[in-house]
Amino acid sequence: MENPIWTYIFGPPKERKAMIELLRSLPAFDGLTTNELLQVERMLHVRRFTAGEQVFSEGLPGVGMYIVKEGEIEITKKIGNGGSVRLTLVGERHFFGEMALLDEMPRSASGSATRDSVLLSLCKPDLEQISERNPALANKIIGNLARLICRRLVKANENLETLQAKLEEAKAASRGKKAAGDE
Amino acid sequence: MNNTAHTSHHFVKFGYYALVTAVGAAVVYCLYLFAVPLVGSFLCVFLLDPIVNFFETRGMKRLWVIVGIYLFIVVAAACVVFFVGPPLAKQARTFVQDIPRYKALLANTIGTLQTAVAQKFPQANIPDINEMLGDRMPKVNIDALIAYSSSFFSFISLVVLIPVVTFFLLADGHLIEKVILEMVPNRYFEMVFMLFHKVTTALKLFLRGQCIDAGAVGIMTIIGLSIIGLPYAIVIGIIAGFGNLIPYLGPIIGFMPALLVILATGGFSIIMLIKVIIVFVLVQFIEGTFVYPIAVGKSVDLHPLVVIIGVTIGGQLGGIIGMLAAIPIISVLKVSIEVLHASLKSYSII
Repeated sequence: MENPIWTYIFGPPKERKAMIELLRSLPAFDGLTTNELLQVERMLHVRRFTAGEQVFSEGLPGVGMYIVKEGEIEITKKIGNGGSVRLTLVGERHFFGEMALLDEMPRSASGSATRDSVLLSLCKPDLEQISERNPALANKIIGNLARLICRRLVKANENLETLQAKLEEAKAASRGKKAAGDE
Repeated sequence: MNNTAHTSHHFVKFGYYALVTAVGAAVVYCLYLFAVPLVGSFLCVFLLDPIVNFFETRGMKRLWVIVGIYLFIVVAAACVVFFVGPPLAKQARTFVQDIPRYKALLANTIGTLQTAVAQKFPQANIPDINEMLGDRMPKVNIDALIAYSSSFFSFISLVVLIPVVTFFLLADGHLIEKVILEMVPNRYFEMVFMLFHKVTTALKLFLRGQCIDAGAVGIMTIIGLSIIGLPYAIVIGIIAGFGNLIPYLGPIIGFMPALLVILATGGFSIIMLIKVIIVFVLVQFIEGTFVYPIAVGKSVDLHPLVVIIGVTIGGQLGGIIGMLAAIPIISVLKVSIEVLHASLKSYSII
């Protein structure tokens, strides 16, 4: 296992290159130059999770987004009867929790590792520091995140529309059955 | 079998935390030894960081900006040593040499007053106040102070350690922060990170604000007193600047030496007294209306009773330095506790 202190101080070049390539593959960092990606990489926190360990809990204030470097994370949401439902599984080279980068609102879902995982965390104060030092870079990241959230909103609206249509169909079918029963 | 593994797991975990605590205690002890240069460095970082960020956002490399600022400070310090240093040292030395004169003047005034009271009330047994005061007047030996401040350790601390530590904190402060946060267990990471960020941000803003405020009061007092022609304007201005760190009592701390100087130089002049009062009122007005609201804000309003108790305890524990340090320390604690309380509440811990 690598020693984080020496990694931070001397920074093994191969490891950094791999991190830069990982960041380059993510839509949140689209259009960033290598130098800008290096600035983001300097801000990232490496967190190691064992299988079943919770990354964050629903309802608590969110601090930042996580990039899955290794492993897999399950995102779940509490439902009415006290249980929870799986929303999605986030695999390697994907990220989650990005809404917390833009707003300090409570987490809308919980995240936990399904197997041993290594995550890279970019927190709101880190983004604020980037914004202080290099506003153009922060603008690019925030712009990318806003685009991603917009796309998700459009998709959520489409899903809502589909669900509403299905609900209407079900209601109509139920009314039809009721009418047939009455006759 | 599983139970044994579980116990040994707990044992290792306990050992790890015990080790971390022991290392932490050793680090705190070492930090205690270097408290003065460390506090000085943090203050310098809080003050210089926005300047470094300003130039960095304009496309300059952070490292070169820091080097440039250091060069500027060296040149500015050289100018101060050559141009402001000699008159300041002369003023300080003359000021201390004049203390026996102030003492004699004070004794004379008290003597006159005592004689008048004794004539008016011959039955009253009034003790000799001058005898009571005796040698209680402060004895300040400026040469001893200079000798102390230029002693080897304080020289090393102030001239070498502070710039070096400040340089590394400015250049790589966030790396140190990352290493510390790396040690936090996953389940507390988000909470600790947010608390750490909020408390340090609040402290940065408060300390930066206080330094700007004290500097502004000092400079305005020096300019004002120089315009009206009061001697020792630089020394009084510096005292007023430092004194301003104590709310409510700050203006009095600055005004007292000015009053003493009026008494000592050319007797008691009502016109000069009025001029000095106008300068201090104007400085306080500008500071209270424009500087303080922008630089410090309302975040650290302390109740007058807290100020009085704090200054008294500070004075008992550490004399003049204790009095000066008490209110900034109380304010820093107040800011930290407020932020901590709000954050822990949002995490439903309290």
